[in-house]
Amino acid sequence: MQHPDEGMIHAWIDGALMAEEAASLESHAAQCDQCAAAIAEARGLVAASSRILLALDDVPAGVIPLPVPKARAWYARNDLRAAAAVLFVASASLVVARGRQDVSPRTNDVASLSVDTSAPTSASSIATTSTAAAEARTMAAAPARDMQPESQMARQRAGTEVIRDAARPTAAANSMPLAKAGAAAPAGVAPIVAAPVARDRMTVTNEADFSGKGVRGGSAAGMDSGQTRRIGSSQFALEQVVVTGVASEVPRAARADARANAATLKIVRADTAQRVRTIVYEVSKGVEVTLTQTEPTSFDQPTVLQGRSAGAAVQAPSAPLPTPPALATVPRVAGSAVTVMKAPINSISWADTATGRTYTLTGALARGELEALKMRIAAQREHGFPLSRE
Amino acid sequence: MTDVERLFRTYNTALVRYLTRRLGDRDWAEEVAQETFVRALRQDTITNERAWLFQVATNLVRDEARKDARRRRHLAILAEEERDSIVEPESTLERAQEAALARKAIDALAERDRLALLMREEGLEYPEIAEALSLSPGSVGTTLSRARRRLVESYEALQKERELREKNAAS
Repeated sequence: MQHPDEGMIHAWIDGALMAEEAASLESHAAQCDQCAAAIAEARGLVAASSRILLALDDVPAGVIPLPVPKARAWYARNDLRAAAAVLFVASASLVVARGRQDVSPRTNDVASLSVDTSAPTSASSIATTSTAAAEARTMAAAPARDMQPESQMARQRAGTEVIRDAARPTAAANSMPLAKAGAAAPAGVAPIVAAPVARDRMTVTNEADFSGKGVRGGSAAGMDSGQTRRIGSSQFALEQVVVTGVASEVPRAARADARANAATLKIVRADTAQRVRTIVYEVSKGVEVTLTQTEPTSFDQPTVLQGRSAGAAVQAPSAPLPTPPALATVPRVAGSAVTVMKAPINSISWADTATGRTYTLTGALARGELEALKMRIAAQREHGFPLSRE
Repeated sequence: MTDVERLFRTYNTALVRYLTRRLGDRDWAEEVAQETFVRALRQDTITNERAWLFQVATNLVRDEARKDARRRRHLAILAEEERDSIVEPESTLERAQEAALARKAIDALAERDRLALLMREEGLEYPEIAEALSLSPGSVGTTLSRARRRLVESYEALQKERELREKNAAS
């Protein structure tokens, strides 16, 4: 073999030669001192050039100036924003709770009434309720029991909490509080409650008094339910059906219209905000109902109660109460006078155990008619809410 | 992972280093590397990814270098003046001096030799280098041996020159 040229030696060092070429070069270099020296030199060059090139990586950075991150304004800090949000919600709750007490003597009546009855009520409910709800309920009733007259906060809490407790015996046992609750509620409103609810709480509220109060009551109720759930989020099971609103007088004409117009319900408008989807159906001319579909929150556990008292048509409460958006979109809420109870707003609520969604149907119709509409809407919706529990 | 993402993850480091060594400017190198990957995105089929990427990057540098060679040269002079004026810690200074020498040495090479050497340093095989630089496969070894020898020789010459200068300055 001739002496390999420098290029070939480099190729050999780089492992780029064919096997035979490499073998012949190696055997030659073993005998040829000159080529062995050339190989050694080439190795030196390879190593040295690599080292030199390595120095090229030492490039001063920052040739192009980086954009300086803008300092955020103090009010843009996330923790401050969160604190502001908490403060806002807290103060809004206070205003609502205060408003309930100050503006509505009737609500006060209910509150004070329930203070009288809540202790035995909750005691009996603990006895009869086998679920974890009992604990939460005790917590809810406790402020009412321990209430001191000078404790404004406790009173407010009791005021909101015990409305439901006060209502429950009305529904369940039809006992003494019925009359008083009836007195507290506007005339002509009587609780219509499907049968066996003794072991569960029943929420009966009338939100049709007049517009402002209706909305306020609704939001207070919503807030309340939120609190309750927070209190017992670990032990509390999502209960399935809440019936709010009770039947009362509905204009005969409207009722007739609703019956006559048994065809498809027209969707007047629909919109979605966060977890809440609101659909407004026109039952007949001027009569609209609002269906509110609320997606479950992460801590809702719709499956918990599936096995329990499957036969009960109406199951227990404390699931989300009718959401404020629903009330806000009902046109009839904007009634004129407090005393004129032309078309009270009623609502029925239920939950879908499969999806965890809760539904509320609200409108200026009797509860029975709302039930009928629920069936019709369900038939209209392909993937509607389940009616198996009805 | 998209194909371009895979390409980027596989070759970006080597490509940026190659370009930084070639250009002496990491930001510029990264820009060119990004442009290269953007072009890869538009390409339907690439037979040899690495060779293709290095070839396209090299061409981009060549095109751009042609355009603003003068501007860059001016900037380089300015940068060197600034470097001289800045008093740096000893170790940083030494490293900077070494880098400046290496830069001068690599700049002294013929473009083809330089590119072949830089590609080889990034692990490209001979056929890939040949493809990227449109060389005959047999000449890659010769090109590389020449590049290495010249690089080392000019680096050593520059080093001697500097030592001589420092000796003169000291005496």
